[in-house]
Amino acid sequence: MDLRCKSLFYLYESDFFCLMFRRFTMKNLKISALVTVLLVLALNGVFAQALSLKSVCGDLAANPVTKGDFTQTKTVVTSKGSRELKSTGKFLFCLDGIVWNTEKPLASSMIITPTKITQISANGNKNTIDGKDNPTFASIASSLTAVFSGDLSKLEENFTVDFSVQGTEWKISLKPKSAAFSKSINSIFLSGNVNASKKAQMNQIEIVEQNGGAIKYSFTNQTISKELSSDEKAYFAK
Amino acid sequence: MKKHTLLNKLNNKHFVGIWAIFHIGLLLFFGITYFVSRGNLVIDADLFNMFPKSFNEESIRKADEKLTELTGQNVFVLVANESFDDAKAAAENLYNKLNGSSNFKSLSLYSDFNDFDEVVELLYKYRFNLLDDDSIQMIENSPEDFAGEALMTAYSPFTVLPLDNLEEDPFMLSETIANHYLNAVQSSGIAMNVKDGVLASESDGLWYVMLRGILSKKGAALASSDNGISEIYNLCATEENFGSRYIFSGTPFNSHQSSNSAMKEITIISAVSLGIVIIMLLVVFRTPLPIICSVGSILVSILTAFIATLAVFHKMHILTLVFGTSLIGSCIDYSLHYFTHNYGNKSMISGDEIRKHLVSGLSMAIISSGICYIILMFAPFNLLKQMSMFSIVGLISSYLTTLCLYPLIPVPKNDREIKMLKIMRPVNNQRRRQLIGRIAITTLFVFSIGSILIFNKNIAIHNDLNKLYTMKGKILEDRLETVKIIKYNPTGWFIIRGESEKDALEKEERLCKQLDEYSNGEMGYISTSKFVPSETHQQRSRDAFEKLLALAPDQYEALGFDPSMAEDLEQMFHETDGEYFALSKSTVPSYLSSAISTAWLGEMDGKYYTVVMPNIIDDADALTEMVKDEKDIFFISKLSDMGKDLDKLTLMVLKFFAISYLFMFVILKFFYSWKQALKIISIPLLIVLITAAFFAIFKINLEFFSVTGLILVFGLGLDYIIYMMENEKNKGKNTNTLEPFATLLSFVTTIVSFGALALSSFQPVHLMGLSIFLGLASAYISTMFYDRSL
Repeated sequence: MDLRCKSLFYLYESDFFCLMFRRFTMKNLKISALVTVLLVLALNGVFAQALSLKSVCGDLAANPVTKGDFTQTKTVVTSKGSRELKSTGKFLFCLDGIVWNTEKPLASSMIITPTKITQISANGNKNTIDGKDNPTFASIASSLTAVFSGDLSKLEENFTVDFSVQGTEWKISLKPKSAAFSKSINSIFLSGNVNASKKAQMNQIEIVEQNGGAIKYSFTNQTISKELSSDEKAYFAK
Repeated sequence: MKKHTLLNKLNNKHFVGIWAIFHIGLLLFFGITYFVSRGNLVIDADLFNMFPKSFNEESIRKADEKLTELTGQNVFVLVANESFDDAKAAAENLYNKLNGSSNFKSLSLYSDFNDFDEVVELLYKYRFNLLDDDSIQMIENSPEDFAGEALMTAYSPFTVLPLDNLEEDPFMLSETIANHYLNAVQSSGIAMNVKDGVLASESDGLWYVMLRGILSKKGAALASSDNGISEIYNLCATEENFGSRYIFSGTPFNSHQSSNSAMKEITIISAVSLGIVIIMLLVVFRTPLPIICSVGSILVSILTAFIATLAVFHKMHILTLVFGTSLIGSCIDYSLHYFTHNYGNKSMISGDEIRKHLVSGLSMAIISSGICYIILMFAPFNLLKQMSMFSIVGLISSYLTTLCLYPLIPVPKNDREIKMLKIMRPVNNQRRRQLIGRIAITTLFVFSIGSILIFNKNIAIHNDLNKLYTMKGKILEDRLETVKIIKYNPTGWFIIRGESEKDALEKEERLCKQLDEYSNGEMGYISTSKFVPSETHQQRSRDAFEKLLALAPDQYEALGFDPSMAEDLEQMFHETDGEYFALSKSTVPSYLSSAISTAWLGEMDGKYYTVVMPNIIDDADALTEMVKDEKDIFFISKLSDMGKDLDKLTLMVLKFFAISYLFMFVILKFFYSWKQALKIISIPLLIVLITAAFFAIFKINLEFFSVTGLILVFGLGLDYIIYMMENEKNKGKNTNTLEPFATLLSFVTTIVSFGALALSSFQPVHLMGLSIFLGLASAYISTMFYDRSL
């Protein structure tokens, strides 16, 4: 009956809802961009060989699970100048997503999967944003899968990619192509070197925001394993 | 009947004057109304407007109508393509062509990227007031936990809002509120997202880009050929679509379809009815004059009825026209009676004589029909009122044309014989005929009453709106696809009434809690208070924040700021004492108030109204039950409510029927003997019994439209027996077969036009046609057996 249609869609009349959703998307995009980049680089420890993006992709599947320590530095630009918020902890990224265990100054965890983001505080409080019905979230997830399978065209679809090498150091800069993305993110820089076992290793990611703020992630003590432990699998259990 | 003394004093000029006064008067009335209303006389093609208004309280009905008005003109086009870029290009192409069209009040494809800063500013400005229930509760239970979570968020990898305001918002209140808003938006059921500046969604390998529009008054006038829907259809058919497919949604598309099919039906029904009638008249009279006159009379009566109805109601539903085509049958009755005498009654040598002969019968007929229609005018249902008005004016016009203009036509001097009259052979054995008649009438009564008793379980007053209109073809496919893409299908809503904004929002918040408890938080819905909470809630939010102030120095220190900044925070907080985020105080920015414009109905007649609209309703009865004891909260489930309202109205129409029945009997008693009056009045009873028996046998519910059909039959069916009675009085004038012949012709022509209605694919028209068909057939058959002249 057409009555149903009378009320149908009225929500879409408003850009406010769209804006809110865009922001939700922006958050997802930021996360997903980072996830994408981490996965691309962590699973592409072959930069040292040819140090080309293409060659990195060839080894993607070789490192399904990467773990290590991280230091996060948020540069916050306020009306009274800029200030840094520093935190440290352990990270894990794999085909199922990312686990971000912050240890200092406050313990908390953030688990990011293709369908949801869950934040868990030290006292066990959980806050979940479900993205399973969000098509953008889903499309980003599919892009991630493409990255895992070595499909760099997906990465290049969303960013203008610039790759540079200096000695054993390498650097990738990504400039968002879409207006939605670039509204929030100015650029993403990924950098690393070639380790002792002649494998490329990612040491740092920096996301520079349009408002002048930035988030820098430094990775140390990285290890690579073939599969997740049972405790680690629990992070991604539905 | 008394002698027509007045009639004898009037000549043809007087009659022409009467005809002219009636028709020209109505034309002038229409002209004045058109002028006064500045041309605001419209044909309404909206399917839902044909149904009776809800029996809810007047104020709630008004609020519901406002909601329907706000959402009823929305149109949506989803452009589907495997490639997002192609879908977007096709959508942009369509948007560029439609943009600026006077058929649209607004049209949007692009999402503005500059407004998010405004949202951030709003959340920051009212950060002390807008905390959600869970956050307030958390602070009340343990302010330390809340402060700890704020720190955790500040140090977490990602936040929804930028941390620019961290110095003034160390407890991350804006972030908490933003998350709450996001959840509220997500719970509203949106499945579309912004991609490259447009709303888009991906499903099963296809990208869908959404174009949204609101039709203007001109664009929504579906009866005109250049309406907004036609414009969209035409552009989608002709413009470059880059291999994309268009999916259309929104009430106007459905109304456009039903309006078009209604127009087609009018054309077909009119053409078929008129065609058959013309052939019949040609066969009977063997001259085109009666046809020209009859068709002219019909056209004049329909046109007169049309302008009169439009002038009185200012807005006429298109279905009134569909039902109005049935006038063809009734109007032609009068013409047939006239021309039967004109061409077959040698004893009458002038039109004036024929008029005098017919005036009593036709007058009684129009009085009986008119009374039924007038009674229907009192039904609380606009479509019925319009139909009654249309029919009364149409019948009067036709009646006047027959009695005032036809007598001007010279009576043929030769060849005054209707050959087909031979089929009406008088029966000489009066006793045998009476016996047959009595047996037949008794049988009809016994059969109908017996059937009703046997199948009484099948007799029920039940209106199911789901059966009345079924979407099909592309409209149905588009609707299914749209629901799949946007995952949103509300079929009912709550309307909340309050003495003030605060009162209405408080009641809404209470209802939302009930809904969350009922569905364990699984039910998504759109509501105002999720975005603009009541003042009471805002005060609770402020009270909760006050508890956090004691922790502010430590919080600042943990974030690396000077702990003394806590004093500034406290001052900032108290500076906003008594400041509330309120719709009536214009503190809500336009983008937000426009976003909730369909949930917040605002002030109407001194009360405030708001709407809570669940995404999907599985059990409407449970929701009705939930608020049954609330005097200011109403659950509106349009389909089931309208069905129930129609049930009530059906009962009411049956009561009207009973009143007309008694009233008619009293009137008849003035003109006829007890025996004759009883005989005449038994016809409507038989009509109802036979029709009810038929419906019971074939398990057809007594629905509103079939019962309304019976009322119409009441008026028309009485005509036959009245003509027959009048004929009985005229015995000895050698006309005893002419009148039955004219009645037979009337019956056949009427049954043809109403029978055509029964073939309609539109259920209300079909049901009405069917009951009229059955009723008229019963009326004619019983009249035939009652009659003693054949």
